[in-house]
Amino acid sequence: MSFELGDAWFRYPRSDHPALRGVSVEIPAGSHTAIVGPNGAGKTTLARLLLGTLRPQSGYALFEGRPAADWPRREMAKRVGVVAQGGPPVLPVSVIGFVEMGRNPYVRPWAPLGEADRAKVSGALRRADLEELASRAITELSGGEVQRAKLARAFAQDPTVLVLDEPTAHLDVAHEMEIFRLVRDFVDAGGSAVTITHSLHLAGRFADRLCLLSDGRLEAVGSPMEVLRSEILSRVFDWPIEVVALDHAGLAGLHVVPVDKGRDPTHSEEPT
Amino acid sequence: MAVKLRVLGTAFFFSVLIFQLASSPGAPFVASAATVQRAEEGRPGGRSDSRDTVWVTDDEGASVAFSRSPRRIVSLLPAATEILFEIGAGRELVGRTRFDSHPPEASEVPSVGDGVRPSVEMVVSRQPDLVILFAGPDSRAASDALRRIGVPVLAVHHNTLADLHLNIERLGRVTGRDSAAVRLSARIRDDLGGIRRITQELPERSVYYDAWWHPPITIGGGSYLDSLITLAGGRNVFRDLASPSPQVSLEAIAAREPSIILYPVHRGAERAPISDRPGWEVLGAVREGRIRVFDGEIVVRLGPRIADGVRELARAIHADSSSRPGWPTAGSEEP
Amino acid sequence: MKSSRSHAVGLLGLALLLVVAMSAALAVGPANLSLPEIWKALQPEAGESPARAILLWVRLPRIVAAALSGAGLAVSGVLFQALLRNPLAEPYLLGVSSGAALGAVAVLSLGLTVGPAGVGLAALAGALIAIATVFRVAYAAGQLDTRVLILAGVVVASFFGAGVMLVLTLAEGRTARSALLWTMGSFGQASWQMNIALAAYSLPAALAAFGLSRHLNALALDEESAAHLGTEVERVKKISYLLASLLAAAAVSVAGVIGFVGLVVPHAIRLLWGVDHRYLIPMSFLAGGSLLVLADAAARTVAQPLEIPVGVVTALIGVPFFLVLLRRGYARKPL
Repeated sequence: MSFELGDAWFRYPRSDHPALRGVSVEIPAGSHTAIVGPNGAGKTTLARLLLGTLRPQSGYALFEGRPAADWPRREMAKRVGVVAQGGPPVLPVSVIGFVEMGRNPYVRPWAPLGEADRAKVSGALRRADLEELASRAITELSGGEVQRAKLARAFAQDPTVLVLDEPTAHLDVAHEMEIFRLVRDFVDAGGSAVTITHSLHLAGRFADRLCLLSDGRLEAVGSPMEVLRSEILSRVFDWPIEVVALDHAGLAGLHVVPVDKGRDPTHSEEPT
Repeated sequence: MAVKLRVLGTAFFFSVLIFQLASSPGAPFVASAATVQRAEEGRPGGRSDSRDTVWVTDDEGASVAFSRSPRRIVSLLPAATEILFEIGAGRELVGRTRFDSHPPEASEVPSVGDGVRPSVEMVVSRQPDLVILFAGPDSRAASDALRRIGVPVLAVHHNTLADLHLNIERLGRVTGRDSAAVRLSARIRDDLGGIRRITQELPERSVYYDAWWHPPITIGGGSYLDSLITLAGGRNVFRDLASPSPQVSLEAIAAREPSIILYPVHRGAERAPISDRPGWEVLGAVREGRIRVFDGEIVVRLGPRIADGVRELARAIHADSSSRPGWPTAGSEEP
Repeated sequence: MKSSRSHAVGLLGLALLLVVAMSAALAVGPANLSLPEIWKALQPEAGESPARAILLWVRLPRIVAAALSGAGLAVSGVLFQALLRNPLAEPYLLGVSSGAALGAVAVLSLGLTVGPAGVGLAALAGALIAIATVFRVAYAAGQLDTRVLILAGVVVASFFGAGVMLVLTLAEGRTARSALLWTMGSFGQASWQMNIALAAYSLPAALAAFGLSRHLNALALDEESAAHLGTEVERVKKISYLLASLLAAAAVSVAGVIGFVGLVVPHAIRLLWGVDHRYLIPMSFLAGGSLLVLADAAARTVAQPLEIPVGVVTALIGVPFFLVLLRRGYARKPL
């Protein structure tokens, strides 16, 4: 069991209402779990609880059986690689320098990077297809390249788990696919991943399990088939949504179709 | 682990602090005729092994022993320079401050810069076997540094007439010119006594000493100038203030109604008339022009020529009585 | 982009610069010793002489003190800029200098004959009180909020600054001047004893700061990412604050307030060699030391035998140099 939340509640200090209310969920090892839900549902808060950045005010949040917030950051960083949101980088670090930071938990304070560390770094760069860009400044990279760099840095940490928060926001389809593919490859090789994403259809394609959050509560958890259902999604997103099973030219999957209220025949507001 | 580190850190910090407090001995210097001892090692008492060894204690508690009189003296005190020349030890002077102007022979002695924050380097380069300087926080670093190098240092206070006589005596003893020193002291006492006898007969005038006006700074009871004013037959309206150079306000001056204002002028410096100062006409002395200008140079030097200074003050204070018979002019004997 | 080779060259070059600066500083001074004289006097076989005394007991202590202080101030600047995420942060922003000034000025004004070591200790005490106060205010619920830190620092600095002004107003004229001169910064009080204490504080602190380099690099991204990379953010912030304050306090207690080094040196290094703290810290250490050694040499020779405050020189040298660097543009130099 990688992560486990038990009836976890959390409220931010300056806020009136709780961001998470009594969420209980297990994220097993070796799976790719996607966390989806509307804005403000509490997805990022959930991730922070999983990582131990925040401590639940009630209930528990465990990583490998121990409260996540109790884990020394260094130990956590050796096991969990994080690809967070965050704006475009401002620090003119080189890509390789950026990725090398992934080795921080392993390197002793006054010591330089060792051979093994360098090997991990070049391995990570290769996996993320960044070898050509290694000596460029990260500020010069495109959005998709920056995300790949963050992923490479996470790889350099040699983690067993990846946690990604909106890794493909603002990315075009090619870059989106790249990221999801890399994560899927990671999981196939034996790792686990937790991805927070807006992209329902990619979550449905790539994830093994989905957690649907709404207003701080866990609305549904299970396989994509179980969670991506029209009635559940429409209710949670407060917008009519159709889910269509797709089987086209060998591509199987679920197609999530938001309805255009004014136009589409079945769901038009005007009486016909 | 973290606690242990913190304890260690604090312990280390405090041990360095304590180390800093402890004093450390210095390095040897040119083998000089004198040895230096610190006050902690005890006063010499009656310790002269040979007749010739002279012990002198300064105002920082250090005692200096001289088996022969110093040949290369650096004086960082203009008064000490004058005294040395007066008692005939001018030849032994090899360094003076840049302000030493008297006597004229002093300008032939090389200057080593400031007296108050002296350049240790300049002093040392004169290879002195005695350095005389002001005792005080500004010179403390220098006197410590010089002592560490092994140069004998006499750090003296020089703020009152008593200090003047004490320093004359010290310098006389150190240079082996005791009798000349005694004569100089006696001459000064006689001169001052003579002036006092005359001024006693004259009516006492209340005086405001205008040392500076922006802000108004005068002299208080703690300054030797106050005792000079008394000798000269005046009464300093601010003598009740202990500080040597207190900063006062126009209102405070007006409240004390000084009958005259003493206005020192220093060589080369232009001072604007007091009547130009806005608001000062509130003082009767200003309105009625009872402002006595005098040569500030003479008065400010607490040295062998101090009697000249008192005469100058007396002349200024009793300017309207100068026609009286028997009034001493500068340098003359009392009839 | 700057390779690690260019970093190595930079480090070597700066180390060389420090050595050259120290040697040059040893060769200049009011005593005007010629190079052959200096060379001869430094030989181990050479006996005691004024030249040797000047070199080893007057100049060298100052040079070492300047090097250590400058190095400490520069590293302190790097740490504060990392901690506060603000390129304008400098060691004296958070009340260290005001606290130290109050301690020193208070002791000087009380007229206690404690000597420069005592003044230094009082300064250190004042600095530590200021540091502790700011820390107390900004540290709540296990977190060091950097915005509160800046505000608290500025406010505490103003408070102690007001205290300094109060003491100066009430103090005797001469003490006020010496207190003021102290605050302007000078290495005239340097001694080997003080240098040992200074080294004992500064060198371990600088070394510890260097050990934090990777974490500081991570913090430069943002706090949450740094935590994900294994950095104990609160602990690193606390340690950085304490190290930076200690370095600044040690420097201030030896030499008074010398601004500018902590602000400008880190920026100059960043402009030339990038933002990686693993190089930024050692390079700032060397560059800061060189700058202050040269500044002190200039301070004691340009108007010799008078000495101008070192802080004035660092500003006069530092500002034009820095403006030139800025004009060349903040070139994007990746790590």
